[in-house]
Amino acid sequence: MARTADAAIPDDEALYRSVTKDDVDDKLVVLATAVEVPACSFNRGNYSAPEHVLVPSRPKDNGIVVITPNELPPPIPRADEVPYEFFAADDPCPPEDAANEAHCEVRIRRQGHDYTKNLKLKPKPEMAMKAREALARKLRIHRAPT
Amino acid sequence: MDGTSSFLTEERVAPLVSTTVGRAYLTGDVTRSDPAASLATKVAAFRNELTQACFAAASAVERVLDQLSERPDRIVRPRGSGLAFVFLGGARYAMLESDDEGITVAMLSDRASNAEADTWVVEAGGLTKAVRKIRAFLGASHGKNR
Repeated sequence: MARTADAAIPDDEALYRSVTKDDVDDKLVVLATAVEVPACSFNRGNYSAPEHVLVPSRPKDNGIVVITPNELPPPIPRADEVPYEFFAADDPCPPEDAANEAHCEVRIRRQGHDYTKNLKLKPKPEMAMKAREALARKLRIHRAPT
Repeated sequence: MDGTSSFLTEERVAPLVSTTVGRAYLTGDVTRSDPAASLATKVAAFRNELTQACFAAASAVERVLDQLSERPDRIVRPRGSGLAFVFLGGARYAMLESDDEGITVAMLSDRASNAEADTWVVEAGGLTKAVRKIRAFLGASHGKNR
């Protein structure tokens, strides 16, 4: 039975995600291709080892990036609308990764509103790209991809 | 001469035609690859992984890049979806990314500054302008990673 989701993830907890060589430049700067919005999967450091993000189904994803909740980007301003803000949410054993008790997501939501998976409220493409780049800039290399 | 031709002459072509490089080509020591052919092969290689709309949009990007003799540093599948053309230029990089719905978004990012990335949806008739904007943004540093 899956553990119950924690109400909050500690601000200093490491969150890990796998990346490929294509997701970084020659100076190991993480590119926006490495992440997705409005929800981007990570593994919580308090429930797993960093290497647990490396899985046989994605052999090219042999690098690991890390971020903590207090390192998430500041809100993304929008013209005439409330900004998008980043937050980390515990999400153990989601349907697409049912055995992963360490799973969590970095998500974006309209500031002051609850997160929703309603596709009608998903970010416009140019805002999604801006948010992805903001998140990618904050990721640090834990293990370089090869 | 339009702005693009001027850019190519002054910033892209001239620095490459050094005596050493020029001699190698003249004596047949190296074979110049066909950038357009290489690009077409790469995009086509992703065909079975893309939606029809994404493939059509990415093919349109490919055609414009071909027409302008521009080459991305890499063409990759982002972790979310779609196909991304990535242009590297030192601390700066740019992307043209076509998503599953056939929408193409352009991004200019300068990691040397704190400014957020510049992003916009590229309309059907705006690809040439977008590529020229990317060239101007990256300047002579684009292509050094090849």
